Amino acid sequence: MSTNATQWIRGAVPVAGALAIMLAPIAGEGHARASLAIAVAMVLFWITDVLHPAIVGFIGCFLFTAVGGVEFETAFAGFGTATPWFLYGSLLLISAADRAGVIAWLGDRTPRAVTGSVMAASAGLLCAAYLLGLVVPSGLARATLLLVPALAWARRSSTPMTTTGGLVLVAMYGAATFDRVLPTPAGVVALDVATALALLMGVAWLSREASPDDAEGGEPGEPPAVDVDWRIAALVAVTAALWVTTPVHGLAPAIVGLAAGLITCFPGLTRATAQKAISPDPLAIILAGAALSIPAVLLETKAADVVVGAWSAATEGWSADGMAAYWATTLYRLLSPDGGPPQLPILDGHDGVGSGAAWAAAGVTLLSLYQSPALILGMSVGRCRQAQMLKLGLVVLAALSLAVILF
Amino acid sequence: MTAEHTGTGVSRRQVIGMVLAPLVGISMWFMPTHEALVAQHALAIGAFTIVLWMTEAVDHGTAGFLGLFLFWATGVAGPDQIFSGFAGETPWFLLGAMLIGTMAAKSGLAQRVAFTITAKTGNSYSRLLLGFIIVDFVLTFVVPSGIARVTILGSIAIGVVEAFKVGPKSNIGRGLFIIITYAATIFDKMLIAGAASILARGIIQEQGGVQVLYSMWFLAYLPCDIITIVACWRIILWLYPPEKNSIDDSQHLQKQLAALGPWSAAEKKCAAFLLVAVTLWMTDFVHHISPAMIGISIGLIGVLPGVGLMNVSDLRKLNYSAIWFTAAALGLGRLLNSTKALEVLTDFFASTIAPLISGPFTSALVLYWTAFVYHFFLGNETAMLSTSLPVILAFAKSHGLDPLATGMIWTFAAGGKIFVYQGAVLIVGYSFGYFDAKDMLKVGFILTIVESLILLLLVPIYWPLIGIGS
Repeated sequence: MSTNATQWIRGAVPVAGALAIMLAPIAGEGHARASLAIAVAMVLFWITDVLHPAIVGFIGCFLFTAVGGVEFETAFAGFGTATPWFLYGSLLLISAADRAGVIAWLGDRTPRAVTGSVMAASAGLLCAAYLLGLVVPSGLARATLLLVPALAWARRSSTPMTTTGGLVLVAMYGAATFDRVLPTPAGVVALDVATALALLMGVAWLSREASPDDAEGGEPGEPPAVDVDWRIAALVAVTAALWVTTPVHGLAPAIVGLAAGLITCFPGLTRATAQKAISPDPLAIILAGAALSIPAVLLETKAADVVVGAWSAATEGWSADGMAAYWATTLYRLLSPDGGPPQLPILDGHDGVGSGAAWAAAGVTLLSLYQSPALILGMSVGRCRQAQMLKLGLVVLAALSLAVILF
Repeated sequence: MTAEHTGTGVSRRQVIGMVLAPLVGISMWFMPTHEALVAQHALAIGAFTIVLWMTEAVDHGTAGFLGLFLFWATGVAGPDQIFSGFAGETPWFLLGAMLIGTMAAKSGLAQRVAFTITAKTGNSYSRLLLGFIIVDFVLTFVVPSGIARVTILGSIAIGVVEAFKVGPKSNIGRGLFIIITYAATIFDKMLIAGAASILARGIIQEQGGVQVLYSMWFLAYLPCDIITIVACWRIILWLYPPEKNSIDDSQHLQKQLAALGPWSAAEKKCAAFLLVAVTLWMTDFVHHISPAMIGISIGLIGVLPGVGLMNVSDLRKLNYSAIWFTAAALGLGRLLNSTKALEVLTDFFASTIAPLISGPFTSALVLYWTAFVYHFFLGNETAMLSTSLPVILAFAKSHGLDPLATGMIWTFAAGGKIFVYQGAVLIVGYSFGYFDAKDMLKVGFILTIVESLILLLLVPIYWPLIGIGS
């Protein structure tokens, strides 16, 4: 099939999805139906990746207020939350660290045993993500911390299997999903192990498909001398220390992240920012804000009730089939990206057998980059692509479905 | 500016700002300005941010973020209140306006409009000058950014000065460039176009509690537009009599226009989009669609693949710092208002200015010149409006003045400038090297007086006829 035809089909899917919602025999007032149709179209556009996700997000928010019947402030509610601006801080910090040579310095000092093997690097990053998940209560903070070694290792490697996007994506996925507290129930540990194994399988798949051109690092050899701006390195270290000790001081990770990012903007503070100001990717912020606006709109128009109703209908009578609940919950969570409030109601404890487990499993099954600000960070800085994300998500979906059937 | 630098890539002004802002903020934090601590602390953070904006110690957007961050970190307000400005329509209206400007410039339509009008005005200096002023005004509808307009017109004016075979510092060069530049900063206060008036509209709506229609704003300043065009023309002819009366090559502008070739598909498409936008803006009193929604929708159509004229790269290149700044300024205004931190400033304003205001005539005069003086201290006009307009509107409401009229006068006064530092548009015009600071002072001062006189006619006589300030 020609590329043009594929593009048309990919573009038709979201439109068909929106039309299906408009025509479906579901309860709900006109505005609820319209806003749900717009939200579904946005999600499908993001998954099919036919348009830049920020443009999709901005158009979606605009349509929410133009035809979805909500006030402008509700349609753009996601921008009024802390998450996009925490992301802004993270983008500033990572860009400053990159420009200051911190990432290159770390890459130079990483043993070849790590940068030479995608499995070793991925396993290391996933372990780090898991451990960070026990102490840092924010996916975006964990992602920011993991992005430094992930970028460093990806750039030091010359093998296609350690493409920047793939390796960074695994780290970001782990950062977004491994959010645990001690003591972790055995069931959750098993879920995390299954997820980690699925992610490693996914990386193996991605690396088989990657072309040598995807590798950023070039031929390995003697690393060039890196002139590190230690003030930025110290800032990164202090930020990391504050995030890791969050349970001790209780300072919100978003406050720490935004502060660290803003510090990098002070002129003359560092050589890295003296000549040219850092301008973080605005489209990443637009995407994050737009994604977080969806639940606010669905709640306001009562479309959320329609979605919950649809979920109940899908899981009713499937008491013996946990997979139906898992899949239905995964679809439900597509409409409620991480990073809120606002978020759609948690379905744990809802009538439906195994909904708690289904909710947990669906929470680690991410199919698109918009679903977590951690993944958006990876997209913006680490060149993660939606096609890679979808493959990785499908591997996790398949693995967890198998786990649900078996156990 | 090099001489002002301290050797570390930071100007003295920035150093002063970075030292002064925390000093002012900390002092005010502990100063018993209000009974409620929240209001006192909010005012302290507001003062910190305003000093950063005044001294331009950091980028305006960053300064706004720092202010909001301090509200959050010190517990004066929660994130939902702090970032609420980003969910409002004003910053996204600005994004829409920027997209429209980019579309007009990228398609070549802006250049064509400029060449078409100037080519039709003739070859004499006097007529060309008038042509440039009219183009500057017309382009305000098409290219809402003053900087973009000066850049477009400046590049055409260079060719015209060369065609006259006179030097850059000739009267012809000085006159053309000073008026292109200065008019750009006045005209975008007479329309809801550009960052300053878009921001002002947002603040007037939010803080003043009144609806601000695009058509009403346009109608209110229409006589002023016409008088300003004529006044600018006559004043420049008087101040800068031309060395030569006409271009030797009478076909110069026609040749330039011919070189553009026939209308391209992109130009036609852009013209159609802009026609729709302007029609909808001008008729908003009929359909009541918000000007912001119109601006955003046309801007968005411009980035749609297959339909629009821009791509993701164009979207990425926009000046987002201005958008973040606008949102942060609105958020800060809301916070200062909700915490009642502005009361002390309003009281001060009331005790010093209120006795001078006794009717529409004196209010126009006093408000205009107060804003003009205030603008000295706060060079950036958007910063000037964001820091002062909430106070002025609070004062207007508490003293029975029409918030719309008061806000419009204050916004219009932001156009009165006599120093190059008072606006990025002036700096861009100045950077062409055709006029110097003395020209700016001379022309700026005369035009500021003229604008003040025009306002004296508009506010008490014309505005009540169209329902403003009545």
